Amino acid sequence: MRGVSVIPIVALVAVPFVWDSFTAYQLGLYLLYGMVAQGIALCWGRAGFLPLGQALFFGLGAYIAGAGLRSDPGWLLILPFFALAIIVPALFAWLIGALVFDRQIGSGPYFSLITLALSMLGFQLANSMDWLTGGFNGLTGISGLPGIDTYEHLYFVIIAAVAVVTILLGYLLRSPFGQLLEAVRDNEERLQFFGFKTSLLKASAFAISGALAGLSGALYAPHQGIVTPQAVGFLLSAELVIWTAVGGRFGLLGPIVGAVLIGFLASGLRDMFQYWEVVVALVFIGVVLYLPGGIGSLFSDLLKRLGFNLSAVGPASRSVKLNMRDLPETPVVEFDDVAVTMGQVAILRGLSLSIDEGGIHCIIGPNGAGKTSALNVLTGKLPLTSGRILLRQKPITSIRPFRAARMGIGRKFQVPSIFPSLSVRQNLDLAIWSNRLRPEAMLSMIPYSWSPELLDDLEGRFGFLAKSGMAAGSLSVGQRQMLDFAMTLLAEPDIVLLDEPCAGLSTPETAMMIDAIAALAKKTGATFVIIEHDMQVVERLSDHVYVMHQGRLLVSGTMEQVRADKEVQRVYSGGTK
Amino acid sequence: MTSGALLELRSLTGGYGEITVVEDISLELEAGKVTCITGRNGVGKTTLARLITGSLKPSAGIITLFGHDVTGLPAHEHRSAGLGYAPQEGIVFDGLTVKENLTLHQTDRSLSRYSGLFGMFPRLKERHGQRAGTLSGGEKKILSFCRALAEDTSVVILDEPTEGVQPENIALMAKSIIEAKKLGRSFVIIEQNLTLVEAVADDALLVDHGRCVYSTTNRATLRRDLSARMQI
Repeated sequence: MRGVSVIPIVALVAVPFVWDSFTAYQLGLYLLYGMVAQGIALCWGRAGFLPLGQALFFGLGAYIAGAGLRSDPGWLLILPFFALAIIVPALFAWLIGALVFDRQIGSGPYFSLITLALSMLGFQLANSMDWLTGGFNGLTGISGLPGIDTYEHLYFVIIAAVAVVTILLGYLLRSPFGQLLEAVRDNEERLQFFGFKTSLLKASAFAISGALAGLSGALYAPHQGIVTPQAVGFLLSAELVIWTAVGGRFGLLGPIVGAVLIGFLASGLRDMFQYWEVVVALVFIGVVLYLPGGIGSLFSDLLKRLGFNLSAVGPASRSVKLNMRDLPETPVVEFDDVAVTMGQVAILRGLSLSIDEGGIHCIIGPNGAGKTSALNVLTGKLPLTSGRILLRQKPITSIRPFRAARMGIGRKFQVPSIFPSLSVRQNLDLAIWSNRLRPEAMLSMIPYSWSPELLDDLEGRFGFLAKSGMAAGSLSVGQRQMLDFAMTLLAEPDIVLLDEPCAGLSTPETAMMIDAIAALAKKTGATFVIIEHDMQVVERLSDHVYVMHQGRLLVSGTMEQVRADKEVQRVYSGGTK
Repeated sequence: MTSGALLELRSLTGGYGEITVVEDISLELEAGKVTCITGRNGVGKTTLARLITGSLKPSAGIITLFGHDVTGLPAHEHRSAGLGYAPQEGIVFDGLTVKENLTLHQTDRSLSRYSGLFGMFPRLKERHGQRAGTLSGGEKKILSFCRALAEDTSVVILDEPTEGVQPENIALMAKSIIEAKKLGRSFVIIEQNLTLVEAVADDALLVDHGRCVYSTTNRATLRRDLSARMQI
């Protein structure tokens, strides 16, 4: 594998010796664009949101570095300008990301449009602010980097920058941070229920892409000797996205391949053929239709067939044992006259109940009684219309899911919620990191070796969890139930909410799940709240039963008390599989 | 047609890419009969349903519907060929109302064909103007079940219809399946809930590792027989 990656590096370094200065100029320029495209790929391919205005950061970096280079200064003065050319676009990108991504999960399309609009705005400003940017004519008189006076020499600087960026990005993608971005792309909501503030993860990825664009722009300024408003404009922004798509948005080198290939194709065609842009457009359409992973994916497939595994680094062994958290004191949960309406529909109509003892609590009731909705308001998935919810005597009425998770509320969903394109092992990693992974550890490889005490227990019960390389999306619904259950437990919450943990399980599997819940409730000491229709489960497990009907609590008590209640008999008789 | 079967699978085999999930499954479903397929998780039951309904192409074997070979027929052509399907997941359109969900495949948009089902599941009628996304998990399952039953297809494939459904409603589902059987409609039901299987099955198959490992037609003993053979 190492041998294979050396070949393109040697080839790139050899260019100035083999070809002419013009080729070194062209290739240098396309590599700079490729570096911006790598940032787009990080956001788009890895984290699942598409920035459409990346030229804004590229141009910003170019203008800042250009301003620094106009006075023909020495290295000592240039370096601060270069630092600014990276930091300012990064901070700007972070701010945009943090603002746009803050509240809602489905903000992707808005984000794309906002970035496009900002790029257009940047173009207008660069055009009109003559005193700062040189306006339409651009910022001129930009000198080269000190001591680097030919395109061949600058080309080596660019190659070095691309190499450093590629190595750093490669590390970043393999780090927990990279895996968290994949998880955001796969199932952002689930990640929030593990206590991760996903808007900040996305904003950070966007900031990194902004920094890359800024760095490319900073090198573009001495490369071109002029920076015009086109460098921030939407035309370049769109081209950058096309290069990323054609080269491949999922890999590390694909975007570079895209920028270089299209760059040379366009340059060759431009001189020969009037409608050259049509050819580029056809290439783009062809790749989108027939090669969605981009040209880069052809290379990685080829290497895989030749026996080179690009993800050759196997999963780390789980060698760092993590002890179970101390037994939490019973977290008291109170619903006080909670109402939820969606449009005209009243889903909860004055639900009052309190869970003030540990143990296993079961919520039963007819379909549509509001059982899942009660968990939804408790974890911030559904907003309250009126009433309040208290956790440990503190109101948590307008809590957000990541905050609920950080306060110790863990949740398994009715329809199992997992990360389908990640492996089972990676799914478990994310759960293990829940409430444990501090921001500074996101770039360390150590979290991959964390092995919580509960993991052995869970792998012993659910054997498929140990088959770590399997994609979680290929699991059956029942196995997903078990995985979702295991993940919820691995986060070690104080309050474990299980929404129909036995749905879709066969009779023996249900029995196995009942055993698992009973044993793990005892082992962890957490308070369990379970929604279940299968009376066999309720009878075996419940210390306390709540019966809900039409958005309210009908009765609560022990199983016997509930069973004897006439009202309950009228609305809900229960049964087993 | 080799027999009186409405739906016939002959050595059906298929899976995902190079992984074979369903292997050599054969069955014959006659008019007015119900075949239930059960088995532990991950053995290929849903994959079988996807193969029968054209969501997945079989790698070997033949599927005939009313004596015509429908192997490889695209998924969207199965309904007009007479085969209905209520899948396990992704069963309702959250943004549409309950009524729109129930009638979107009909030309007349009328709920008249649901009158019998609404008698059993009045909640669905009460909520017909409401967005389906606001229904609970069990109610969505009931909606999907009713939609499949109200269609005019002769053969219906139901994938885990009772998941998350309260026991009273499961009994009503069984009742409506039995009524539909009397009208000559046939069902393949993938189900873990043996109470439903006991109530409706003419034939029960146990699937393991993609193969049919046991079958019984004796309703009185099937719970015991299937449970004993269903190893984890």
